[in-house]
Amino acid sequence: MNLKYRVLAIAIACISFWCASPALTSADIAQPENRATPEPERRVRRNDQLVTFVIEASEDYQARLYVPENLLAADATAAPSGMSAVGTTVSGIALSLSVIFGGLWLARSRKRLGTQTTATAAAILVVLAATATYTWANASPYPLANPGTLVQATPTGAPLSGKVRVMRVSDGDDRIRLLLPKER
Amino acid sequence: MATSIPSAPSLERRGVAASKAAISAPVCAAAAFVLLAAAAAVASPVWLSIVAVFVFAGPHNWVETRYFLARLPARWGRARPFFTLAIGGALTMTLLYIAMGPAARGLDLSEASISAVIASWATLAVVWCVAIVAVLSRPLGRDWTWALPAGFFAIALAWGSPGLWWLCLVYGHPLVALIFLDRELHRRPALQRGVRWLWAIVPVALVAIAIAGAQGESLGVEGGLTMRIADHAGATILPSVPDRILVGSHAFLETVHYGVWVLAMPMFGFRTPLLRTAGIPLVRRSRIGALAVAVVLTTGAFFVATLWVSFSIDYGITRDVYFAIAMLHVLVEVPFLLRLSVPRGVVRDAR
Repeated sequence: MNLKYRVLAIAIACISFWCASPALTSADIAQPENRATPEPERRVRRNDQLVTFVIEASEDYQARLYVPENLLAADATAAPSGMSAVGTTVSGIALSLSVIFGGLWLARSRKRLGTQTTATAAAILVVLAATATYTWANASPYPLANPGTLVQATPTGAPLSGKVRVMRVSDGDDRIRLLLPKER
Repeated sequence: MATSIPSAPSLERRGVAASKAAISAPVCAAAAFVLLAAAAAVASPVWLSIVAVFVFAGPHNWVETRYFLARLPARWGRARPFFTLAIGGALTMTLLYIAMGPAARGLDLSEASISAVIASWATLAVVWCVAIVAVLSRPLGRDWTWALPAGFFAIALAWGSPGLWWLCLVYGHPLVALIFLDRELHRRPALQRGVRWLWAIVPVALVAIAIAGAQGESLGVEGGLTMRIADHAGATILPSVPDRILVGSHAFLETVHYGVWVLAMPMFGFRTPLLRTAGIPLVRRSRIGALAVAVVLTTGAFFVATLWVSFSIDYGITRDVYFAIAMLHVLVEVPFLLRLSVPRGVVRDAR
């Protein structure tokens, strides 16, 4: 079999393996529920309900905001993915091309490197790719919450607590803001 | 009158002792420098980062400029496509990099769009590197196709995790200086072997910094500067890693990088004294070339002085501006590093 057919056979084998490898991964993370986004309110609505707001320290490395469900309207949308659709697509295509061209280069270099070296390099690459696929295929699609400067509010002693008034606003600002009065 | 003539074995022993001293002294000095940097990175990483950048950032750029000028041939000849692509590409990529921040703020881009912009810039940079490898290898009949899978993998990483790609650049760049120094020590194989053993200390030091940083306290609040230093070291990209480890590792690697360029390269990387430009090919070629070299080096010295004054006035802003402009020297190192991989005597430039 001449070189051209060998290269073609190896390329087809690489593409087939790459297409089949997702079948070996775990994809058991449930899809987030798609909920319709309600129309944003166009005025400030005051809520006279008083709630207790607590700032406390935890061993977790992410910042979490626990809000009772009865305070939230049922308008939660699907959690954003850690990677955008464009990023995932381009990254996947580039990774596939990397494997294909890597296989072709190994096939062309076989005469220079020797069959044993080429086979060893290919085996190492396959093991690395399989390990990486198994490790990251089950990763959470949710982005890691960066606490940013919130860590400065972490109390060093007892948790801080007090009453806050809940204000629901729709002025285009999507941030949750906690305004604290100055100490008298 | 009696004179004692040393015997041949005695002369030989003196020669061996002198050569051993010539090797052991620089290696011991380098080892002491590396260990001191590691100790400072463990004890006070923010202080080390501030002082290292303040003292060494400007001078190391000047020494790099002097080094690259000395490596630039007087006539590019058949290497013209390579140098055009290298220098033009580095300047273009630097301008795009500087424009990214203001463009993102002016257009009020979302976080996803900013990631796409960074990934696009990274893709352009990878394409530029692959093009350099191709332009450098094809005239020599060398296989350049290995750069394709490597380039596509880098592009995949850039779009999969732009922050991680950026961190690879931030942490990988300081190690490039070690490669340049190793290449320049090829004329002193014994010293080269000693220095290569020394570089084995670097990963050990990084592990020690990581262990100490994991047990130490967080860097805490010391104003916005600490947060900017931590951000530069990757604190927002890897929030699960203690910031002390990131800042300490980055400060240690940066200090080693500065030490190589400011202390080691002037001793071993130049064939003529640092301040003598007579050995630079462009200077020997013509008066215009000599004038151009003088202007570049004088401007560089002025830049160093201005940088020190600016650091004294406002360290935070000057640091941000410096690291934006300093991308040029990061990019310029790539083509020169790739050119070093060509065996000596193979690249023939027009005389």
